[in-house]
Amino acid sequence: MRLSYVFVTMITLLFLGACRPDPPGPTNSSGNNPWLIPDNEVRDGGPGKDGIPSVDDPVFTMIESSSKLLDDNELVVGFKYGNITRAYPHTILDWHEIVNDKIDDLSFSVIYCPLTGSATIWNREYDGKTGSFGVSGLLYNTNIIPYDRKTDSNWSQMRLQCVNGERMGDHPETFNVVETTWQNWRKMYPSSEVMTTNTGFNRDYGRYPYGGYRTNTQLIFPVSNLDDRLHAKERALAVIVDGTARGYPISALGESELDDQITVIQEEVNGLPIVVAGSAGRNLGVAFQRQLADGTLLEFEAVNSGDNIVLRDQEGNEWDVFGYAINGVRQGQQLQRVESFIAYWFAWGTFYDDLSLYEE
Amino acid sequence: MRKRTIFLCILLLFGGIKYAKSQACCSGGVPISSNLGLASKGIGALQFQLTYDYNTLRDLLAGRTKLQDRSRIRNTHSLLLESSYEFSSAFSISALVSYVRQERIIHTQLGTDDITINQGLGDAIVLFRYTLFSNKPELPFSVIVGAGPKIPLGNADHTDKRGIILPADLQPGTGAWDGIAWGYFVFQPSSFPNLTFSTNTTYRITTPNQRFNGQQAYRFGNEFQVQSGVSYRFLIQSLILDPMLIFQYRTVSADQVNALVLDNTGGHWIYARTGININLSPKNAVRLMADFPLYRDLVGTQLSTSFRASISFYHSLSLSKKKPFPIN
Repeated sequence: MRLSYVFVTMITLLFLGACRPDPPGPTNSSGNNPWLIPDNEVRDGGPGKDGIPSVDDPVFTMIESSSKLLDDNELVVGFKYGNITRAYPHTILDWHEIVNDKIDDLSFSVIYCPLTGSATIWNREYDGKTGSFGVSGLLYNTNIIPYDRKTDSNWSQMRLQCVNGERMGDHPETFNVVETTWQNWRKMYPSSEVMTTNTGFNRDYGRYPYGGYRTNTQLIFPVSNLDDRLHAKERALAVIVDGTARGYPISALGESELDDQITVIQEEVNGLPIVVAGSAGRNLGVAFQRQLADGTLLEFEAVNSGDNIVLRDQEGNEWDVFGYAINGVRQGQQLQRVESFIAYWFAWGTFYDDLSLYEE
Repeated sequence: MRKRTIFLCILLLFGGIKYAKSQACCSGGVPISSNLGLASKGIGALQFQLTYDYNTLRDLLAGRTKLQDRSRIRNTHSLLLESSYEFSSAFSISALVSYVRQERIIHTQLGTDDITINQGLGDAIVLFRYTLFSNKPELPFSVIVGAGPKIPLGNADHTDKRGIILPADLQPGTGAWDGIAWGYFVFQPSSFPNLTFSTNTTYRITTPNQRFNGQQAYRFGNEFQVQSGVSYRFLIQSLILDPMLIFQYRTVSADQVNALVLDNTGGHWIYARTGININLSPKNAVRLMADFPLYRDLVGTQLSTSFRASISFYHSLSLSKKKPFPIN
């Protein structure tokens, strides 16, 4: 029996040795800081902090040499700064969720959440220095919580606010994003750059990592409010004005899902005159303010040239999908931004309780 | 004849399961079902086995392809206590309790490590066993079958320091009742009495747990595994040693959240398990085991076991007045 005691003691000590206390330092370094959102609705998605690695040194190629890179119907997130346009394929963003990029003097982060289908682009300059965002591994209402690597603060992407940490309460500076199909992006910006799979990481980019998620009605994590007026994964552009959101399903921007003609909607959201332009067939939807900084209220009609020009105003100016006047007396001007981006319908419903739905 | 019919039915059942569950699983975890398997020692035998099991997941695989990525580590340390008691030549009961420590280590892009650790009492298994055949000179093999519940003793709602509920595969328990079917076959050929062939088969059918106040039903995938191997007994001075080589096939179906089948969970694994049983006395033994993956075919992209090792201490008592039973 003495031998038994020896071995039991040995095994127990071995195990206790493994059960050392949590090490200090970066472990859960947000500590007990308060959250602006209900902390019991913050979920650990599983991979952990940086377990889904952001791409910090993206590599681009010219679109001419990469037309076969993606299937025509794959979606890309497009961005324009100065004369440079870049496309970030969903097929890469599905695996990394954040790309920390730079064009000229502008450092920005492309932030994409595969679970809410939402893409935003945020400035990553802070306090005169360039920072970066990473994937915290946390979710709020099943939406990505990026963290900024300068202050370790946690941000809610769809709430567009820092919700935990030193910068709690801050709002990110956002930029216009254009999401559309690869085929349409190539037509609109044939000289664009496109991000390649040369990310520094070894991933199976040809495979969507969430199975049937983007087409079924199921959610992986619970959300606080479920709006069932549309299919949960219907893609919708929403315009947010002073915390009020109005959703425009992409499928409503045309006679049918194959309709690649541009549809224009002009109305007010929370008292603000806005214009929505998009096409169900081109899987495209963008929104701008109709009033210019000089007080001029523009009336728009659709332009169906097939390229990046989608709007014409009463003065004859033609505007592209990023809101730049390409032709006319206002050439070079940009329409004033209104906060807007595309996400799955359920996500809009859970983040904005009073979400209204545009219906034809 | 009746016994043989039952035995054949069970084999067919297990064989059927093997082909029906071609889908697959999460690579994690707590190896409670693979540690079932105390042999029959005779009426009145009370056996204990204490095992420390270390399972480290460092290989990121996409299907069968190992990706060049060493950014994540998942470790599971398990302390498993299995005991069994034989009421008669046919009936016995065994129970296994666990204590589990889960670790998630990520080498962040800032160059630091983000470490999450969770530990606690794990789940337990109670197995009601029936001996179909027991080893006799004219019939040199034993067959034991068993079934029982996996009891959710372990917590499945532990939180991190911030109060955020950890994911299901970082919990010490599953929070769900499962059903376990188990079969054990051992054969000692009379012409080579030092050789022992054995097969240990386990099937676990799972049920969903309720997470986030019932808002999410998480169900781990069903699991089937079979371990077949051979051991050879020899003496070094007064020490009886049984080195062994075992091949383990394991298949797990995909996890589910509510009605959603989770991608990147499930798969097929084949491991080589090598080890040695050191019989210190007729009633005490130590077993050392190490597992190495030979083949992995996973659904999607998953971390998978790179290496697993365990050390077990075995002790037996006889509560009957009959002659002492032989060593394992």
